[in-house]
Amino acid sequence: MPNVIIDNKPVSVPNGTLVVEAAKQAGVDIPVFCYHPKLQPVGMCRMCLVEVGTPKRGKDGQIETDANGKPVIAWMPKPQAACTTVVSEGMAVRTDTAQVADARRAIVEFLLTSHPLDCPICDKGGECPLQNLTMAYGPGTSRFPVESKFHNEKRVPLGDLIMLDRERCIQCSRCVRFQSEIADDPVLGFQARGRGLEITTLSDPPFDSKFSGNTIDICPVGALTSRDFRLSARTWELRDYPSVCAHCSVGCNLLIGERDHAIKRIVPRENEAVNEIWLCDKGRFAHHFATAPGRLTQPLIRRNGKLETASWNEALDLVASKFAEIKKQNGAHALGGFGGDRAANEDLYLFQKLFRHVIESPNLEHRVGWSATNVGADLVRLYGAGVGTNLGSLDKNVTVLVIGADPEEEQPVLRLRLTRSAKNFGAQLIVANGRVTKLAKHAKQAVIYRHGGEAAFLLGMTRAILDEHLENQEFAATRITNLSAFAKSLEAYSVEKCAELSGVSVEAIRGAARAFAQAPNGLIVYGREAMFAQQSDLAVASGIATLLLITGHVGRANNGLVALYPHNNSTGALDFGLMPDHGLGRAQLGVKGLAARELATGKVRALYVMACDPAADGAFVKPEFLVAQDLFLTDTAQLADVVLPAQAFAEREGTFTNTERRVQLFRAALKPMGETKPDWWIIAEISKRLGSGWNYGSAREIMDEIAAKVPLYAGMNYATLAENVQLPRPRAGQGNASHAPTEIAMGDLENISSGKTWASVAESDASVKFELMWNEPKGQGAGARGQYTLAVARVIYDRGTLVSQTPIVQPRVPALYLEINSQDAQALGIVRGARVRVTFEARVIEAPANVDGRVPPGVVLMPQNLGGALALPLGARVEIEKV
Amino acid sequence: MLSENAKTQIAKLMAQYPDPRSAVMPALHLAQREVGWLPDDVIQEIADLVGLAKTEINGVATFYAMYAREQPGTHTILFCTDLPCALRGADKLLEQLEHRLGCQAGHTTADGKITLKEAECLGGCDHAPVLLIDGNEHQQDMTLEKLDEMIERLKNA
Ligand code: SF4
Ligand code: SF4
Ligand code: FES
Ligand code: FES
Repeated sequence: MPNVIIDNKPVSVPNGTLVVEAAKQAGVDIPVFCYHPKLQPVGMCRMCLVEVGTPKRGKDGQIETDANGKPVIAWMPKPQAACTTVVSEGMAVRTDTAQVADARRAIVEFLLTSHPLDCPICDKGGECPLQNLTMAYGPGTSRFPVESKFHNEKRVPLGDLIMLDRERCIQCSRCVRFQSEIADDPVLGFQARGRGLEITTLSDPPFDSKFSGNTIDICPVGALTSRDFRLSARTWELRDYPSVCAHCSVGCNLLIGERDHAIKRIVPRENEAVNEIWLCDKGRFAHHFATAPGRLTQPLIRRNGKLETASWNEALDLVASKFAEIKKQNGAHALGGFGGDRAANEDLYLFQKLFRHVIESPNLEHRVGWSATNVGADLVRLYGAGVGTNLGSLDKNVTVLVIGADPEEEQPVLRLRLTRSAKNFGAQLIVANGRVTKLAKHAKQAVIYRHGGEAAFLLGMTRAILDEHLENQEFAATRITNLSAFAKSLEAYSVEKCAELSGVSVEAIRGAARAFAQAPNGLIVYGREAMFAQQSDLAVASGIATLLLITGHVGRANNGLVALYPHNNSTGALDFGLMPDHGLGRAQLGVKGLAARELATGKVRALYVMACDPAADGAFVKPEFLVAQDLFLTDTAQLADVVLPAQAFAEREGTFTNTERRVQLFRAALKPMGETKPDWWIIAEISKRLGSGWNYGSAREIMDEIAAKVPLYAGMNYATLAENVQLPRPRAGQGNASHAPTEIAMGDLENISSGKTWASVAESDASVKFELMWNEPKGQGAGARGQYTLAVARVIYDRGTLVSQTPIVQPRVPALYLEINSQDAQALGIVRGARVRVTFEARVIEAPANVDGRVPPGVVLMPQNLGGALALPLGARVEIEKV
Repeated sequence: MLSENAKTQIAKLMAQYPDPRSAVMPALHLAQREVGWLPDDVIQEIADLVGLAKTEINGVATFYAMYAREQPGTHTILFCTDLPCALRGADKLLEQLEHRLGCQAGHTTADGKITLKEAECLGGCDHAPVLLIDGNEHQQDMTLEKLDEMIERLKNA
């Protein structure tokens, strides 16, 4: 820990700290343009010049001291860049001298020679580092006449989402570095040099990255602006409300910039444990659903076959009386509910309470085709990654086995963070999938198994660990009941046999086994494709549990399981038991409800559907009485007898639980549209009419009840969750911007996090013992000639209800396609873009071909969320031909 | 499109450095010698070979004046306007040259014969003003007469 003195203030900082960071700790401001704490320093702009000296040594090598016994400092003759100078013991830094003030003034003056006088019409105005630093350190006047300013193109679209103003660019390369270092999409670059230097993108489509919006935030000037927000409000007119992304399960923290009761823009809110300061473009831009013209604004009741507007009382009375009548006639089993995993925890909790305690029906589900076993609801409860795990800063002592996942498409910001852990901190990634995914680029080991070989690969790892006695014997002795019996029962499965079943080489299996078992910490990331596989092969889940247990990688930070779920609150839906076989807190139930398929195909008389659209998944049969509660007139709502208009996330408050089990609070930003109500309010009103006597006045009260009633959520009341989730200051005059966007642009990060993570059983109860179990892996041999194995995956921009409401992202939503390996394509005479016919049993789908090397030969892939391919099962043997 | 031979040469170049990205500049030279200039598809080919993004290769190819990202004429004149040459009247001469060719520095004559480019020091300051023809023929102590002679020769060559 070198000791340094900055403007006479002593600080001691870790080895390797840059002067600019050490100064922050001393409370000294050093202005920067090109430096950003999230990026590698490059020393390009020279704004951070300071005087630097080191203790002077005499001829004898001893440090010379002055009359007061203080070391004499040998000052370097010229100022140094604080962003590239690393501290050393005894270093002295001066930032308050005339020389430094001159240097800063000169740099600002120099930058302004080619910077237009755009502030009054520039989006960045009000949160612009160049503006701020010019005011603080620049000359008050210019020696250059305004006519001498350098001019350049002012509106250069960099793709669909970002607009570049070449005059404003100060060539700091933050955007270029973000794209290559953080996003791992090096699609921005400099072209030419000197005055001619320009930002360009040569990718096709231009600026091809799922993270492009972040460059707007970190650009220290208004050179990069959002084509969605551009010129639509001044930043200081916005009120920034803290919220949480309503799309995927990463749960990125964000600020809703509101003006005139509309969302003007979405920007990231810092949370070091979730999204740092990043958002993906879907989270940033696809918010227009919240204020879309197609929103439901009034309750609807079907009269004479047509949906007609009704009052809340009419609608709620009708729902309650129908529910009561059906219960009386056929019993509670004749009612069922889908409470979708987009709804907030408060809604889901009340939804299950309504069904299990008021209606007293066990028929509850949150998604079609999504069973608790397949998605690892129990695994996560037992072995979920330890509290304090930060997927963005795992170091070399952590091995992460990522199996059957494509986080780039499904949890984009989580992919960023795993890449960061691997690149910056040395985390060891083992990326196993049936195809090549983006994350694999920074993996220590990339494993390609045959689709269907997931379980055999995991079992092979287990066997290899046991063969080489790499199991964690201490953990096994105290926490596992049956290790030796279990090891014996595996005898029929040698590593060689597993290699054959999985299509992975013996060496690769052993290598992965050693890396995982010998690492001090181990995490498994369980992705969507592995969950698909689990549907037909139960050994995937047992394989994961076994690996975690025999290596003792559970119950501590940086150990355990992270399951990647599709939606913002999929975890909450599991936590509150929106499943036929699991109840509150994921407790296994004795009495099981009807399966989702049965609920969706008319096996109940009344069905209550909240925040999901089972009818869109096909094969839906309308029950006698159907209630739909949603933002839009979904396929299900179109069939419903009563439609109840709910509020969007931006109009209300509540909590979501992210894929890492972090419970996060979001606040209301907008005035609710029309007569819409929060989901929890609607459920409570129905319940009251059924005689429950409930009386909930706010989401806060419900969350506090959850904290008291659900052990997993103990201690998570609103007060603790609200930490660092501040409301905007009261509205006054011209509105009140938060400082967060400026801080991100200036690089003044707070390193804060918010939200609380619940602890797994392995972590919260050290006395629990575990039993190892296994299932025979199914494996999969090579297919018959002319047949291909169908892989399914998800893509980020889909045709779902939320994304389709944002026009600006539509160009990025692909049409349904079939991905095929170039070898296979050549054999079949298929070129990129050619139409191909996919035949499975009696079903035929046609789509254009996407020819590349990501899927292995013999495998074809179809995205599962672009419509069309829905009905085809993973692993199906399909025939492919050219149309 | 690069020839197989060029690709083999580039692979050899890459093997000479601990980090293959170091081979970008020699690879660009090689490609330019073969193709005459550096069109988009060649930039992409080099990016794929070296394992970098197209944007990054473009950055290098546009940073240095001696790489041509636009199709040049039959002959290329690099005209030095750096300090010593400028002191000996290079800027005036360049104006004259532009006038006579009928095209500005950075462009190619209408007949596609000659590309004129401004250059930094060409290393012949003791005989300033200096220009370089097709990367290998230095012309020194330039005067208007010499320019005319040169234009004649190049146009008819
Ligand atoms: S566009 Fe912005 S971030 Fe990119 S180099 Fe220019 S000033 Fe820097
Ligand atoms: S990664 Fe997920 S949570 Fe984060 S911004 Fe994107 S969609 Fe939203
Ligand atoms: S050179 Fe240090 S901030 Fe740019
Ligand atoms: S300055 Fe012209 S050759 Fe050196």
